[in-house]
Amino acid sequence: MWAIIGLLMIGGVISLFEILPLIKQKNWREVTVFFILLSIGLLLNILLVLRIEIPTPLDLLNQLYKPFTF
Amino acid sequence: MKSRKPIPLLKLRKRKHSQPGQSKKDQNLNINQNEDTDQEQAVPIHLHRELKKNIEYIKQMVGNSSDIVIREFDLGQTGEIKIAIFYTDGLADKSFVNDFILESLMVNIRTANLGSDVLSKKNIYEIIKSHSLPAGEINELVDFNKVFYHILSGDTVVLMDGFLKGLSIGSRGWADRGVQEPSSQTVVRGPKDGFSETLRTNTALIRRRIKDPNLRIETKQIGKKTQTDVSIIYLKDVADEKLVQEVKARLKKINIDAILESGYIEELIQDETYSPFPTVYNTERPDSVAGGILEGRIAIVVDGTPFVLLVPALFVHFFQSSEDYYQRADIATLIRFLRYFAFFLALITPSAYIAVTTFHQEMIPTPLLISLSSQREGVPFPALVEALMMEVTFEILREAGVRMPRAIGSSISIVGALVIGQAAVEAGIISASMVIIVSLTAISSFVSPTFNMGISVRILRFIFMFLAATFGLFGIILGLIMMVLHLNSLRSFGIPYLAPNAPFILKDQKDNFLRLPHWSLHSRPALINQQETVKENTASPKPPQPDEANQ
Amino acid sequence: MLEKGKISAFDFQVIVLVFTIGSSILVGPGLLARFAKQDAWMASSLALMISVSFVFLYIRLASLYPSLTFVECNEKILGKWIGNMVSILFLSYFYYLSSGLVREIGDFLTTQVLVETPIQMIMIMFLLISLFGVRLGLEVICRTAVIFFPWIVGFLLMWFLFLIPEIKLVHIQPIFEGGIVPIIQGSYHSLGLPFLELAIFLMISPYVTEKESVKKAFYRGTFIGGIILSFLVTISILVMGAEFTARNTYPSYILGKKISIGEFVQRIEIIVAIIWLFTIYFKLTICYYGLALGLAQVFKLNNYKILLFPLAFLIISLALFSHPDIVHFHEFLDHTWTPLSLTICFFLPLFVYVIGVIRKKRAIENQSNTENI
Repeated sequence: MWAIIGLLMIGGVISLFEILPLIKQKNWREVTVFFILLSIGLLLNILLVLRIEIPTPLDLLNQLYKPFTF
Repeated sequence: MKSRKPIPLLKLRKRKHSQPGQSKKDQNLNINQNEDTDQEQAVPIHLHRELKKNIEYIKQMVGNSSDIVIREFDLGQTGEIKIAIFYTDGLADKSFVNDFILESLMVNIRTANLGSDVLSKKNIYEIIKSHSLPAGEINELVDFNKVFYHILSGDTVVLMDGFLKGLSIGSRGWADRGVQEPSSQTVVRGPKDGFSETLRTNTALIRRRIKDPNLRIETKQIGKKTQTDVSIIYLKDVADEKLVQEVKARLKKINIDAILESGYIEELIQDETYSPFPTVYNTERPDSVAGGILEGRIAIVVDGTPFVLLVPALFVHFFQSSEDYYQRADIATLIRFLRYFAFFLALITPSAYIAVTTFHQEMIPTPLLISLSSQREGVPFPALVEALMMEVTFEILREAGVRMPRAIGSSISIVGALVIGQAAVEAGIISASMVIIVSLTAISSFVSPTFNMGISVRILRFIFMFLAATFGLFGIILGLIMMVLHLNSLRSFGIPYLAPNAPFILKDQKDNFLRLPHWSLHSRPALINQQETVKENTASPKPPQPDEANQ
Repeated sequence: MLEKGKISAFDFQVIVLVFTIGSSILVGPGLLARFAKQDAWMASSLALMISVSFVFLYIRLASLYPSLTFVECNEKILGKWIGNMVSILFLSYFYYLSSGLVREIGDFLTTQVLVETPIQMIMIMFLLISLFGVRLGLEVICRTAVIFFPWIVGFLLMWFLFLIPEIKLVHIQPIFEGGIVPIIQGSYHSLGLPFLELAIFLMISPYVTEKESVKKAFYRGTFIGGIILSFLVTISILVMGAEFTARNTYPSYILGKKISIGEFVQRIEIIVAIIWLFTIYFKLTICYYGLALGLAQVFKLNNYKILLFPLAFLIISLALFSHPDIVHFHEFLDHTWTPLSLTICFFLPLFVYVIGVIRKKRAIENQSNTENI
């Protein structure tokens, strides 16, 4: 629980630092991309903290490239 | 009245107007002074036509200050011309004021064979200006700002009744420490004179070394209250014109009430404030300033301090001493390497000790490990705490040593040696090896030829210690990477701080880590200097060939 | 332009060299020895030869539009939609590579050096320092590499010298024991590590000032780096034998433990760790930089620096969940990495290059046609 709060707080502090000047300059494109990426990143980290298993995309690649390895 | 003979500690400033060699510089200086004061003080209060009102205004402005001397007297056969002179007691050379200004105005002008038709109320100003003042430096004044500036900086101001303008006569000459050996950067071989607190003495020391008409000394006043003279000195055909403009622009931006030391200027013009590393070089040594100017760098001399600034200052400059150029090249090169090594030691030693004893014991050869751990057996603290205790104690000792009165100096060293060295080890608070580490660090941090690079190491050392305590050698490596990244992001007046190394400039390696013999130092540093890069063309010395010698 | 810094050809050469050595210095020998046994040194040299053709492709692609990065090229050549898709594919490869490098650091340090420190702390710390570098820009990264370069070279030389007494020629005999097939197999698998990864320099080459000497610098950097790697593989096999090299996860680190000169100079494997940390730092930082820059160009942002923190979260999480354990990681490296790299870093740029050349030719033809009319 604490880890999640900590993570969210770090995310909050970072966005405060990075975003405020951008909002002042009205760079909405940057703000949107920043928030989308940050929320995906935070979500993944929270899942990791909660020890929920995330399927690794690499297994798919392993399957895909099986014929090309020798 | 002060004596003219030089007294060891107190010395009167030399009057500049009697020396023909310096007059050009003075003219230069004065022209620039005038320009700059005009720019700075937007609303001038003009002089009044009546002398009485002028005197009243001055009196009102300076209040009852006892050191402002106002002398009124009459002139002419009938005494119909009223005149007054003003000067500051202590700043003006009193004997000069008496012998050359007062005497010529009060006595000589009367005895001179001038008919009453010549000397009249109308042309007295011209006559005094062009005939009767045996002084070299004369300025015309029209407003009070300049009147006050000249009075308060030691010049004598002459005001006459009936004129909208006055005259100032250069008569500066106050008690001065004189040219002494610099206390902060001493050399074994090399000139022993150092800068003093007076701007004019300092510029003269530089001019004496570079007798080139292209040496420019440009002065302006900075500080609304202090009106401190700040000169920038450069070689016109060598220094990059853009750099000169940049320095001037940065100085112009300064808007402050007081400049008491060149440190104020340094902090107001440096590129990056939040950095432990200095990007402006300061020195007390005229020879290293002259060397810098000859490389194309710009010196900033501030009145009232012996520390002269040199810009741009790159990382390598802080590891070069002027003595390197006076000694044999091979020795100088070796000593430079020694300095970098010491810098590294001062930075890393305590943290490496912490890292190795806490995380990487396997790196230590077994016999050494046994002796180390037997020493640390009785010590109750982890290595970080031990190191921190010792380093902080040492920093305290060092600070105390700088500030305290000279007389108690020896007691500090006794306390330091006994308490830190012996007692702490015998009491089992710290291990003997820690004492060695701390002393090694301390000695190494004094090797740096400039004091401010030593300070940055002092700060960084603690950061490295914490990194080492949490991540071991990994932490130290990360710290080093971060430090170099930061160093690379720094610029000094637009020039990359690690310049001849990164970006790598092969041509400048001859005077970087290495100091090649003088006959191979053909060119000036590439980035600093954009014009007249060729320095010399001496061939390497060769002994006479045997057959030539026989002939 | 997003990046205002300019780097010289020398800086570029150094960063290519450091990038080539980075990470492969630790994992490379084991991987090669697993496939080619005692002939690994030949496999490594063969891989170097082949990889020159990759560099050739990258240089040709870069000189198609010398002032554009790969992402910008894609858009120019393939149009907005397909171009951006290709770019995202390309960038996701380097997203994985960054996280893989972070993972490698974490695995190595927690298993070999800092056994008690949690892997997350090490990863976060390393990524933060990398982020600091990327924020300061390309110029600073490259100049820092130039500063550390002599150290890396010095440590490498010292290490090689110390290892000379341990060499036993028996270890590389018999030559061609398994015929030519294992050698080809080995070199095939070492193509992805590190030579194909050099494609990231397509994002950096536009910022080199001396356009003429870029080519030479690229070739020279790759070649010297590759030679150092081959040398390393050879020495690993000469000192430890193919079996032992193949079985170890970090053979060159173990190699450091073999050093013993007199009674005093021993156990200096930390030197290997230091070289490796320096080189992998620059490799990670370049990947991270290219990733952020490319992403900013895909989304048409005017500042890549704001992407760094979100990307850091993404990289850390991928580094943690992509491989359940170190065995999975090495399995992936051994079998999937090279074909994956070939697709993304060879066939994709080749495709873009061919289309680009055709388009350029057509444009010229059209121009001359209109002129004729």
